[in-house]
Amino acid sequence: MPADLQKARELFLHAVGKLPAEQWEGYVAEACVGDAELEQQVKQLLQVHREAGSFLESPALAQAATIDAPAPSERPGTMIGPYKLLQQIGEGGMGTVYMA
Amino acid sequence: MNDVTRILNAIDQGDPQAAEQLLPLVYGELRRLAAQRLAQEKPGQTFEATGLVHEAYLRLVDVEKVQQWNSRGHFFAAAALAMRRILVDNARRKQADKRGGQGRRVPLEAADVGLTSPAEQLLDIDEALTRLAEEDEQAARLIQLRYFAGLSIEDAAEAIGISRSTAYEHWSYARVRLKTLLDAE
Repeated sequence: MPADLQKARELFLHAVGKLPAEQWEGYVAEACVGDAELEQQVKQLLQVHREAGSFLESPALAQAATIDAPAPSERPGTMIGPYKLLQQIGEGGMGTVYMA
Repeated sequence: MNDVTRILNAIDQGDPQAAEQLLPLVYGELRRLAAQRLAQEKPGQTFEATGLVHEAYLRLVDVEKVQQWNSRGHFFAAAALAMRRILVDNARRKQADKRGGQGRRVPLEAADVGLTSPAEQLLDIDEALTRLAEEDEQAARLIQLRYFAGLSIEDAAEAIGISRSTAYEHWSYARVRLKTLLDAE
């Protein structure tokens, strides 16, 4: 990891791990005297931390439908109530559109 | 002894070729389980990676013969990478379907409005995770285990062979760093 990121990481972890949120700003200002870029980096991390909510906390979900999902049973010729499917005219994430 | 158990033991013995044999086996089993799960469920439902990975572990590994966390770690690392590939391929296909695949043109404003879809989000996270791995390899591995294989931070720590406190630090920082990389795109 580049040295500037390493330093920003250290300051960030100290702030979120050891200090109450109202002291973050003062701590960062003091720790980064003379290094505006570092101060900016740490501030950004803390800001994202505040807004991160549950980002990545729950594992990735697979949305059903496309991992080798079996083809739907409808096809041209199928009767649905009073309608007969004539031809497929479109397909989307949620289903297939037929002319009936 | 079945194939995966044999490979895990070989990895433990330091056989460098064994690790390469593990991924395709784990990938194949996870894909099969995912397809099976989807066939049983109603369309539009979602499933979690976590359950799949644990099921694959129980099916592929002779638990009696593989007790060491080392071996479990190798298995979960392969499973996390396999799950990542499966979900990313799935998301790519979805994106391609949505675009119609036939070169239909959509005005730029229309394409850009609205929230990003789950498929897009997953692809963005995948890309940001690749960038994170370049600057912080261990933290990226932890995120991969947690996000794609659904391991707890404690289990992920054991799988990687780091202390829990190191794992919590990685998680705390890398989650935020990853989001910064995402937002910068």
